[in-house]
Amino acid sequence: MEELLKFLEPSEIAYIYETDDSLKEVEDIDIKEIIDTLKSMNIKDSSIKDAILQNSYLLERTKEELMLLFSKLASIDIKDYDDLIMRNPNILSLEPFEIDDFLIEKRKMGYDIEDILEMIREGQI
Amino acid sequence: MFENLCSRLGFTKHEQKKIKNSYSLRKYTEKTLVKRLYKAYTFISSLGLNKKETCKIIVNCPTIGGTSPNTLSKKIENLANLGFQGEEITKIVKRNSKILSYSMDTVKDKFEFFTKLGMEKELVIKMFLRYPKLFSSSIELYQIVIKTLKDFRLEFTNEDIFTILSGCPQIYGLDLDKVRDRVKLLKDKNISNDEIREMIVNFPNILSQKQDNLEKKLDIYFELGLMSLIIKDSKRLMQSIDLTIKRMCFIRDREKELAPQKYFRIFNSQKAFQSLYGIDNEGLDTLYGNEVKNMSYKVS
Repeated sequence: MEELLKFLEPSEIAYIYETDDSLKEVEDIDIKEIIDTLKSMNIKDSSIKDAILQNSYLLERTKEELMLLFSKLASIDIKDYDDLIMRNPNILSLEPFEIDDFLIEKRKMGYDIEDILEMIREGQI
Repeated sequence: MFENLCSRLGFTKHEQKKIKNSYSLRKYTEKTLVKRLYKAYTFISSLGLNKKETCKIIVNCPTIGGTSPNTLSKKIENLANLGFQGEEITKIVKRNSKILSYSMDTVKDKFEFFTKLGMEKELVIKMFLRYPKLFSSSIELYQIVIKTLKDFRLEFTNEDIFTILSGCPQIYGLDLDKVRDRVKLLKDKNISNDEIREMIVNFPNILSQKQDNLEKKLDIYFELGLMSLIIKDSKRLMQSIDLTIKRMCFIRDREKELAPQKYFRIFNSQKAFQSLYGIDNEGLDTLYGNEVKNMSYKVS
């Protein structure tokens, strides 16, 4: 809670708990680790706040999971994470295999890789 | 003995206490608990999970620590029989470890509730993968949510409802009164029922948006003349309100003639916006960060 209060207003925290009551059980130390991980990826505080508000399940992830996700995104040349999160905060819930599955599915449908990457940025994934 | 094992496996002191005090494991002697915990831990980590993730799963659902690998294996097999594959099963277990404490019939019944409604198996899998906690909601709640959607009188077809449920399965965890408020907000903005239907089906997450944020976004897009675009492509509502306002301010100050086509550039990728206007998100923040912070911006 203390860590969340650094980012969010009490009413915003209440909204997050409304989306999932069990988030109350996430420890401060884990929240701090997630926020520090996002910051280390050059994601700005305002984008982190927005991501938490739009996708509170992010708080249940671990640093390791997020790092794997970022490394998957980097491998397909999506490296501006701040811009990505501002446009598609839900991506932070995904596992690397889901990015692969999306790429394969869209490739099969005949899309160019650049178009698929734009779909990911826009939240079509 | 218990502390030694737990420390070796990576459980923190706090987690050890939580496991030891859990109702489901209190019945075991220390020797039995150590044996069972070790076997369960080994099984869980064999699903491809690291130490920290394995510990988290057991701490979130200590019953697992006393469950035999044979039983756990059958529960995993049950998920595979429903159609979930390797990494998908790992994701479900990681996000909702309680699933390993439910009976196989319970899990199967919940899954089949949706297929019996006529939802395609692939879509059901996608829905549970997006929100594994759905396995922890009751079938009664599933029915209430579906009824709530129908009660909006937006003429949703069954297909629409399936798209909404799979696109925003977190709706099962939301306060349904607040969901109703969000639909009411759309109606209050004089958006027609057909358009609201289209918006929700295209972007079911609109039902879980924070109410005041959603209202702020709608007001801005109305004022910029972009609502017809938002109705057709409501996923645009996902974009951060801060980014929208900063880009809007920049276009407002930069362009001599303002038109919805120009404001549409609010949704460009950073790369495209930068190549058009020579400014990145950081530059926008320097110029308009304060307007956003103080909410003192004006559209025109």
